[in-house]
Amino acid sequence: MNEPSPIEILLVEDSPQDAELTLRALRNASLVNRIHLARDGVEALDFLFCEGPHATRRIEDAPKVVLLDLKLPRLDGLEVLRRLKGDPRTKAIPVVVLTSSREQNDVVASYQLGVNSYIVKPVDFERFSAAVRELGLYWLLLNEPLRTL
Amino acid sequence: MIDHRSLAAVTRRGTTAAAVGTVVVGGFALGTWFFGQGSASALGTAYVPMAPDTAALFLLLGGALAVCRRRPPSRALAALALASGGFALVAAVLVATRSLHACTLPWEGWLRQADIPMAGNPIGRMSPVTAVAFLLSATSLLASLLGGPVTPGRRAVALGAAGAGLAIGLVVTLGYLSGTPLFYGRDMVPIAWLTAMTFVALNLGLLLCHDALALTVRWVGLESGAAPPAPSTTFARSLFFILPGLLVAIIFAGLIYHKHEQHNARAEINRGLEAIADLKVAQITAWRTERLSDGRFLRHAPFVADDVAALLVDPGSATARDRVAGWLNLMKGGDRYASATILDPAGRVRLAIPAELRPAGRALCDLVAENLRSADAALTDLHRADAERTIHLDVTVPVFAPGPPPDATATASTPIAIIVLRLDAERFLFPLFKTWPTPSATAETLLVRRDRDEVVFLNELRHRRDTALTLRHSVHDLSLPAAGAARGESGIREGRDYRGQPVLAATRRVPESPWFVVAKIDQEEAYAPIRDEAFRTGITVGLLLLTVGFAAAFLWRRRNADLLVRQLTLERERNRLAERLAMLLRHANDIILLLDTGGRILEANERALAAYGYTLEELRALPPGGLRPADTGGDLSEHLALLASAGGAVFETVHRRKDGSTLPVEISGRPVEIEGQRLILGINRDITERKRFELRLHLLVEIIQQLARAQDVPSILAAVRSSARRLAAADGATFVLREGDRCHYVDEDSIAPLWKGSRFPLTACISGWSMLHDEAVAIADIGTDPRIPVEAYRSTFVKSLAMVPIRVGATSIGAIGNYWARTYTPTSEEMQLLQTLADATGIALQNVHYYTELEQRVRARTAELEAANRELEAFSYSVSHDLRAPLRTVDGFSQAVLEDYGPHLPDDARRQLGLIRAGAQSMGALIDDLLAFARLSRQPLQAREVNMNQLVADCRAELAAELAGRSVEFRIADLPDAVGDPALLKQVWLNLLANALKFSRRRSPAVIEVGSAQDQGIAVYHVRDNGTGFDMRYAPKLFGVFQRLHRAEDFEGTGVGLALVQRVVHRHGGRVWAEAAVDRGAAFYFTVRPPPLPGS
Repeated sequence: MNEPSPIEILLVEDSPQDAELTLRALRNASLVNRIHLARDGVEALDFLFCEGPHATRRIEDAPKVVLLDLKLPRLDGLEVLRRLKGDPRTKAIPVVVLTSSREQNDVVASYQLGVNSYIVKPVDFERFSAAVRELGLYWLLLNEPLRTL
Repeated sequence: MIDHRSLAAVTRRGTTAAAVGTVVVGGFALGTWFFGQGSASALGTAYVPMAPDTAALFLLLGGALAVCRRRPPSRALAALALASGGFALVAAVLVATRSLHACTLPWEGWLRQADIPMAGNPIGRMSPVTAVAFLLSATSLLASLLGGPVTPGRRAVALGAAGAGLAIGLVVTLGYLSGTPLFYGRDMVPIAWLTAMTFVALNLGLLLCHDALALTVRWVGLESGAAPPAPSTTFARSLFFILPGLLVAIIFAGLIYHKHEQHNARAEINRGLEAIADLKVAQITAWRTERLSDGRFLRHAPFVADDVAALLVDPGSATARDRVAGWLNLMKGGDRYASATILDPAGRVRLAIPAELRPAGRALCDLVAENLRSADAALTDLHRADAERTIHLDVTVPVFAPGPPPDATATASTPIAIIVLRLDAERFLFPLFKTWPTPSATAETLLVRRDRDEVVFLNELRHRRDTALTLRHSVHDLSLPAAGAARGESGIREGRDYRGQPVLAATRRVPESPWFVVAKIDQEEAYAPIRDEAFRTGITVGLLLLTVGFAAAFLWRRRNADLLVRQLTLERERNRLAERLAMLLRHANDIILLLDTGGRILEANERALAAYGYTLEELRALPPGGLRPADTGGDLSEHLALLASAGGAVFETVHRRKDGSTLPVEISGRPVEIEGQRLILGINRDITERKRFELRLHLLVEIIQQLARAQDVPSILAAVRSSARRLAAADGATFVLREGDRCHYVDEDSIAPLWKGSRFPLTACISGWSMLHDEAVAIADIGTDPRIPVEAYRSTFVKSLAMVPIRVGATSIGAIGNYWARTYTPTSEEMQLLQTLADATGIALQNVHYYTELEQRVRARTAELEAANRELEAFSYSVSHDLRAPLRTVDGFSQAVLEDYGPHLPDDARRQLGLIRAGAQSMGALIDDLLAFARLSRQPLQAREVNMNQLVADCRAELAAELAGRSVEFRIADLPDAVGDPALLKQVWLNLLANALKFSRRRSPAVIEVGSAQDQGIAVYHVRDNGTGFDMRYAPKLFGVFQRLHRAEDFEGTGVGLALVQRVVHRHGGRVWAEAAVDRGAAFYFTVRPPPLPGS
């Protein structure tokens, strides 16, 4: 797979509908250009740590933000988060949990693992869009990512 | 009541007054003698004055009393007083014994002018009675003046002597007061009145000086501060007051009676004597008249003159002589006259019958001469005829010459002859005097005549010979009644007769004669009836006094006897009590000690001696705290102080026996007072047994605690094994469990192996017997008990054993055995302890059984619950996550369709897509609320102090968006803090406020009121609005999940909000309720703590 440019957003989402809605929301906010979609935790980790199908990718070309669903097949979101934040190379990558779960346990666990933001996906698409737009703007445009040199 | 001070003052003043009075009286009396006015101190002419030596002794004794008044007197004064007293004593002894030695005292007479008798008594001489009184007073004085302490004996002597002296003085004074001087007679000089009174004063002073007043007051019980008088004292007091009065009254009455009787007797005696005197006078007068009438007959008979004249004319005429002799003989009448003689004026005898030719005596001649001048017959005085021994009396008759009877003028004529009729007085007159109408030893009648300055006793006296006409006494002898008679006194009087004897005499003049009659009788005889009477009275009074005295003494004695009997009874009772007490003490099971306040042992009972091994003497010799071991005994002084301050205390300590071993004791001590001495009574209990029992009990409690904690059989075994032996101090213990029909000796703790691990049939061992019979058994000697399989014990040390069954419910599931290597009978206490251990073991075994079962159940249940919980969590998670994803898809792609193809869709399609989206969103809201509600149940409470005001303010801020475009008036009162989970409580406020806003939407302004009230100390918060309210009929549904009272078109909502509120409030132990009415608003109330139960 050819990588035309560094990926800015890694979206980890198993539900294709949700993924489409998220992408749609990002697109609505004109943030859609460089998005990579991982369908489960394993894929996400492969992408982030440049393994498997992503072995050619440079780990330094980290996404500007990872949008992470928690309920994922194979490896769940919290595990992904743990791996991500447990590795010095990837721990600086901002992670926004984007999930349907309002469970306090999930919220607490996420923050304990170093998540940068926790957003519950609203049912109302307009509110969903608004939330995605805001976080995309923040993390992609306003936040100056820490770059390892 | 009388206090000590006033008593002392009265005593001091009284003594002084008595001393001064005595000295003054003595000085006065001495002075009267000194100035020759001795009788001035007699206080009455009939009484004797005080003798000068009496006065001198009073001076001395008064002075001595004044000295002895103050104690101690100075040495010199005391010596002086002692000398005075001694002198008085000696003098008094001399006077009192005067009748024995008859010597006069040298000082008697120094001041006395003369031994003048007064009323027959010599005055100026000390009476023996006075001497006796002085003896007593001096003795009393000396008893207190003699050196050395005044012993009770000496005081008794002093008081007794003074009392006797006082009695003498009082009696004599009373005698004088009643007019009867006492104690005199014969040689007894009477005691002077003043003397008697001075004795009263002196002896009163002496009594006072010896504290008689204080003693009396004490004896009578009038002393202030004295205890209320005992009955005996009351009796003594009344007796004390009544008896002397009664005695004095009796004496006084006796004296008055005596005086009265004496007066009567005297009057009677006097009357008798005077009657006799009158009788004598009458007899003499009659006799004389008779004699004179004889003479007168001769004088006037005509034949006498004729015949005498004839005889004178012719003396020799026989005829004449015969004629004369004839009537003369007739007149002479034989013996009537001793002789009859006719004399011529010249005194010659002319005729004499009997014939007597002697010339007439000279006396007769004088008679003739005298009769010649008289014209009538006359009686001559008594005379002793010449040469005759006898005393005669003559009747002389003048014979005048015959012729015309001589008239009054013829007095000058001379008689021609005188006829003398001579009488023998001794024969005819004196007998009259010799007789006395009553037999009397001393009475006599005297005939006296005055002869110039002398009184001549005419008749023969009874008590002296040959006194007639010869005995003469001065007519001026005042004491001689005869002299008085001769002086012409007529009447009755006392005096001394010719013998000097005191007599009572009646004197009379014999009319027409120079004679006087004295009828007298010795006073001794005359007054004998008075003396007898006095004696009788005295005896009577004495008997009365004695009777009263005896009666008083009898009463006193009987009283005392009663008292004594009572005292004796009391004493016996006390003795019996003491004996019982001693018995109690002796046989008390406790150690009883009596200590002084310093902790030294004074007394100990036998139990103490046995317990400590000391003898009583050794115990007494122990230093304070000697029973306490130096290290463990505790601080004695601290305990003593505790006893003293707390009035008794009970504490435990350790005592040491003589052999050094110690024993724990419980001391119950209290301060006591015995005969004014503060002591400590300690009752010490040897609590060795108790301590041991306490230890065992403690052990038992520990085991039971261990057993209670035991959760498996091994820990039960461990607990029982560690303690079973120690509970009864046994040498071995076994733990036996029943396994069907066998006994399993599961465990043992023993000095030597027993049967651990062995199994025996139930019927073949004692533990089996105990289990089967469900009975504890103690066997002192295993060799004699048939239940014991001797073989099994042969190899063991066991001699005695005890076995108690372990019961679970009604069955015995095991047994605990105790074994001794010596022959021992376990006490019932030990058996109880063992049985208690067994019971506890049984319960523990049962508990273990239950516990195991319970644990298994709990484990299973927990597993179930956990599984359910997990499923629930998974379900929640699925709901929250998986249920919303499709909704989002529905909503999202509806929107996408609208966005992408909106312009191409008909309006109705767009509206329907909108409805799809609304439904999806509504379902999303429902799911969210439901999840929140579910979460509440699981979420733990984080309770802390919550500021409700802050919560409400926060909620208002959050709800600010809702207020846009509305007119809402908030009335928020100050709310009290609560304890709870802030997040949850905030949810409550938020829901309630949101509700209020929602349902007051159609009001303008909407009024929302937030406040609180106190109901029985519980804060009740409320939120009230003026919204649509609701029908209270539906109130019960209000708080149900998904329950709604309004249509969704009117008011949106999921119906979870109030259910959530209720859930939160209930989790805080509170209550929530609502009050509302349709269109009148609603009020929601809640509390966060449970309201108190009614009545609590």
